[in-house]
Amino acid sequence: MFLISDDYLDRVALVCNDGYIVTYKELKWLVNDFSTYLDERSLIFLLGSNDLDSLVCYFASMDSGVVPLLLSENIKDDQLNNLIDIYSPKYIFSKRVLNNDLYLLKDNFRKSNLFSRDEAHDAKLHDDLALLLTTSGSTGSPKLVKLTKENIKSNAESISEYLKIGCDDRAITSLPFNYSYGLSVINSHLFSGGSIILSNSSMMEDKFWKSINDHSATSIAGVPYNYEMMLRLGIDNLDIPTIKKMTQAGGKLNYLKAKKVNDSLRLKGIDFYTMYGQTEATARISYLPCGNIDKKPNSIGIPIPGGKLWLEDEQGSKISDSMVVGELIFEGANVSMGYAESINDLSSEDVNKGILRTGDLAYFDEDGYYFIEGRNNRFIKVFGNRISLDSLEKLITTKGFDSIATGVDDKIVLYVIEVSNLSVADLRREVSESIGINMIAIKVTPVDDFPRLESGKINYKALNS
Amino acid sequence: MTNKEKYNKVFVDCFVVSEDQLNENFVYQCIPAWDSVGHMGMIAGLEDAFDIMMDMEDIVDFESYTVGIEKLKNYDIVVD
Repeated sequence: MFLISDDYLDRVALVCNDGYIVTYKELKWLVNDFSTYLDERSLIFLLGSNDLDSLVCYFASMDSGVVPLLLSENIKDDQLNNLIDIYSPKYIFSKRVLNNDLYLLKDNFRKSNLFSRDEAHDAKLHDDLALLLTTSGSTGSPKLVKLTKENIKSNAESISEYLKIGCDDRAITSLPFNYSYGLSVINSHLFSGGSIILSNSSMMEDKFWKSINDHSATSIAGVPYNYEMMLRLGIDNLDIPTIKKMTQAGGKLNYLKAKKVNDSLRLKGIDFYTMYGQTEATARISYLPCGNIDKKPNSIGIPIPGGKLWLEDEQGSKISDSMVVGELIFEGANVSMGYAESINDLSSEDVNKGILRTGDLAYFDEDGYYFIEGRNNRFIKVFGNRISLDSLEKLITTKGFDSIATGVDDKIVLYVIEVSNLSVADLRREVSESIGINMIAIKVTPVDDFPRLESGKINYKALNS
Repeated sequence: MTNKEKYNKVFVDCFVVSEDQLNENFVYQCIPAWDSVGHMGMIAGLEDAFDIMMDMEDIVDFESYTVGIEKLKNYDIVVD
C-alpha cells in the first residue's frame, strides 16, 4: 500500500469518529477493495473530511494510479462546478448528492458515493503526477499544486524523523484533511506505524478534548488561531495527560503567544514545535527544534532533514552573510512539480526540479536559523488558510462590486465602490460564506474611488493608512 | 441596558442576526457565522460585556443561546 509498510499490519491505524478501531490490516483490506472500483488512470475529486471513507478513497486512489484533488466536503456548488468544468474529472467521491448531470452514481462505499462520468475522458496525466492540492482553496481558485508520490513520501519521512514519530504516537486530526498541514499529520503518522484519531470537531467543542482523553492521543497540531483558542480556553488548565507533542504551522504565531504556549506546555511535559511550510513543498520546509523558542524568538528554524535553505538577492545571487534579507529558497525532494491552472497543465513536466522560490523574504542569524521578514506576493493567512488577495478580488467582481482586497494575517480588509442596488452588509456575509472564512475576519469599507499612484497603479499604502 | 439586552447585542453583533432569531433553536453551527471562530468571538464579546472570565468547561459546553443563559449564572449574571 502507498506510504504504509506491511510491518505494522496488526497495529491500530485509525480510531474512527464513532470509536471504531481500524488496524492496518483492515485498512489495507478496505483500500484494496475500494481500488477495484477505480479502473483507469484518471482524475478523482475527493470531497472529504477526517473520516474513514475519505482516507480509504485517498489511499485507494494512490494505489490505483488515480490522481485525487482533495477538496472540502463543504465546497460550494458553484466552486465545485467551476473546477469540474476546468478539470473534467472521471470520478467524484462525495457524501452529498451532486448537482451535476454529467455524473452518475457508480457505487456506494459506507456513507459515501462514488460518481463517474461515461463520456471519454482525455486528460493526459504526467507519469509522476499523484496528488493535487488547492493553493488558495477557499476562494475557489482553480490553481492547484501538483505533487508526486516521492514528494509525499519524502516529506512524511522527514517529518517523522525530526518529530521522532514512532509506532506509539497517536495524533488527533485537528485540521482539515484537504489542507496540506492536516494531510501531513496523517501521512507522517501512518508512514511511521503510528495511529490517527479521526475527528472533525473543533477545539471549541467538548467532544474534541474528550476524544483526546478517551483514545489517549499523544499529539495535536494547530494553526496560530488554534493556539489562540487554547489560550482563550486557559491552556494551563487543559487536562490532557497523554499528550506528548504539539506542533504549530500554517502562519506565524507571534513570539509572546508562542512563549506563553511553550511555557505552559513545558510544565505539562509537552514538547512544542513551531514550523514553517508551504503546500508547494507538500507541507513542511523548516522547523524550530524543540526548546529554542526563547533562544530564537520568531524564528522558522532550520531546514527539515534532507532539505536545504538559502537566500537570494534581487539579482538572483546567493546571500552568504547573516542578517541580510533576501528571498527564501528551498531545495528538497518534497518540492512539487509546479502548478496546474488548466487540464493541459496536468501533463506538463516538473518545472521546479526540486527548487522552490517561496516568495517569502527572510534572513538567517549567525547560527543558521532563519527568520521571515515579509512577503513579496499578495497572499495572507487567515485561520491557517492561505488566501490570494487577487483571487478574492476576482470573486468579489462576480458579486457585482469593484474592489481592492488587502489585509494582514487573520484580517481581510475589502475596499469596495458602492453600487446603488447592492448591499455592502450582504457582501460581507456572501464573501464569508463563499470562502468559508468567518465574518469576524472580514471588514468591508465602502469608498468613492480607489487612491492611485501617478502610474495609475493602486496606492495600497494610502488605503492602509 | 438590561442583561438581556447586553446578552442579545453580543449575538446580534457577532453573528449578524436579528434579535427575533435568538431562541432555543439558535445553536452552535446553526448558521455559518457560528463556527469555532465565531464561537471564540462571541465568548470574547460576552466576557467584555459582563466583565467576566469564563472557564473552559463553560466555553466548550456553550452550545446554544439558551444554554448560554444557564452558563452565565455561574458568574452571577442573570439574563431574563
